[in-house]
Amino acid sequence: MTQLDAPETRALVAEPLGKAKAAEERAKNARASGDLQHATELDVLALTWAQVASDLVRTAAAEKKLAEVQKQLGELEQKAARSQALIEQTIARRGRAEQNLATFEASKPASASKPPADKASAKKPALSRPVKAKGGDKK
Amino acid sequence: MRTAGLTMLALTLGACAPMPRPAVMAEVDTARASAAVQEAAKIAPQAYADADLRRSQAETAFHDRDQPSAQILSEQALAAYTRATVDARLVRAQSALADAQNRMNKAIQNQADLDAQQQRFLLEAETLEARLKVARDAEPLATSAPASAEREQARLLAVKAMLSQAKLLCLSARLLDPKRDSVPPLLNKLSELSSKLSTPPAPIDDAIAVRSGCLKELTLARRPATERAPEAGVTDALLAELSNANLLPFRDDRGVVVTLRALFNAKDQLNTDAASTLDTLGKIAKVHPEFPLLVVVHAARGNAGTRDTAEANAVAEALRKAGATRVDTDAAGSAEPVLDPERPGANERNARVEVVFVSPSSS
Repeated sequence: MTQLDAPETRALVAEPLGKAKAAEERAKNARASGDLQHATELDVLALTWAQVASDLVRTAAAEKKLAEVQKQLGELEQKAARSQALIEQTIARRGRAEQNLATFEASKPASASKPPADKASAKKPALSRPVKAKGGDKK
Repeated sequence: MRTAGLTMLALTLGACAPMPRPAVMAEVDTARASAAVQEAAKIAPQAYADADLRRSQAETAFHDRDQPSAQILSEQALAAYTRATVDARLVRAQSALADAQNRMNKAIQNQADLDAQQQRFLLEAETLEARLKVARDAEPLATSAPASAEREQARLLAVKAMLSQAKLLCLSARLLDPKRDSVPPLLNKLSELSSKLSTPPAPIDDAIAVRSGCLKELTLARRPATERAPEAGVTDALLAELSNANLLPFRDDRGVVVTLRALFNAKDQLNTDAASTLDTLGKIAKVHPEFPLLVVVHAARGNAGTRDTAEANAVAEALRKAGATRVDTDAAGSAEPVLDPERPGANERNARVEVVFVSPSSS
């Protein structure tokens, strides 16, 4: 109970912890008057309220973490949408470059279109195909 | 005797009278019937069963006329039902968290795939653009016709600048790939053209072709590194590092350039500030050994002299001392002024030393 009565969780667990402390006090009184059976029952009652308080703290932590992850997920989904748009722009840029190169090569006289001396520059790269982005499995 | 009999009867009736049901037992029944507890029965069945057990024990105690236990056990049941609802919330939060984290992992993987795709398409687009540029540069140029004396003078200045640029590009290519066979013929051609500058007409077409050839050599020397790691962005990282050191770097075809002025004192020795700056540059070069350094001394006027060469060597030596491993030098004379030499104060601006971090790749 001392651990649960920390400043960061005090407001959250005030009610169950108050009930646990009250039950603990009643158990003490019962024990003092020799009523051991009811003292034991009151101890169990105090323990149950303390467990409620502990579970509340765990629940709040899990819900906070959930909110953080959902926020990050939302940001990531937005980033993915932007990346997808950028890819489409780059594909268009590649298409324009490919077309410009083809137009330029077609405009050269046949005698002038000799293969370049450098093998690396002569090699036509195999162009990638866009891979369909995996759809976000939104809820 | 009669009084005693009446007393006995009263006590017997009193003992048989119904015991009042504690109010908390009704509270327990209300709580148990609530929607929250009924939902908790499905999501947190163990906690719900525990609460039901205590409620049942309270009912038994009440039946056995043990009112204090009935009261306390009912309170336990109330607490246990509350716990069941909290546990149900916890289970829901944990389940949603697991689901969100699963989606997060998929989203991270998806983003990595998108980034890789973007890099691949960008590299392909840049490769095609570079091929087009090289193909256009390789086109034979229309031969320049003879021009007026004034225009011929302007061409001469342009040729000097282009030959200087071409030399620096070829030296950069040689620094990146010392075994590149096609660079020495270009450097020879440069020397040959430089020796013809005193006799008109200025070889403008040849100068353009040589500059284009040197740029092509530099592009080809960078290609292996670019293909190995297209997304590395090493030049951007170096640029940022030099900017952070307040060295005012900029990029050009050769790589990342830092311009320094007034490095030498009256005895032609490096002054204290210059030594400190060169030490910083040398240390940065040591951390980035993939960037060889090219030291270029630009004079305010005239051709490169022995003094310029000595200054270039002194700067190179200071850089090596600080940790730079690959350093080459060139004295460019006044071929590439930043200001018209006739303008006031042009000498101070045009006399400068460039320390070029030659970019090993186009990324």
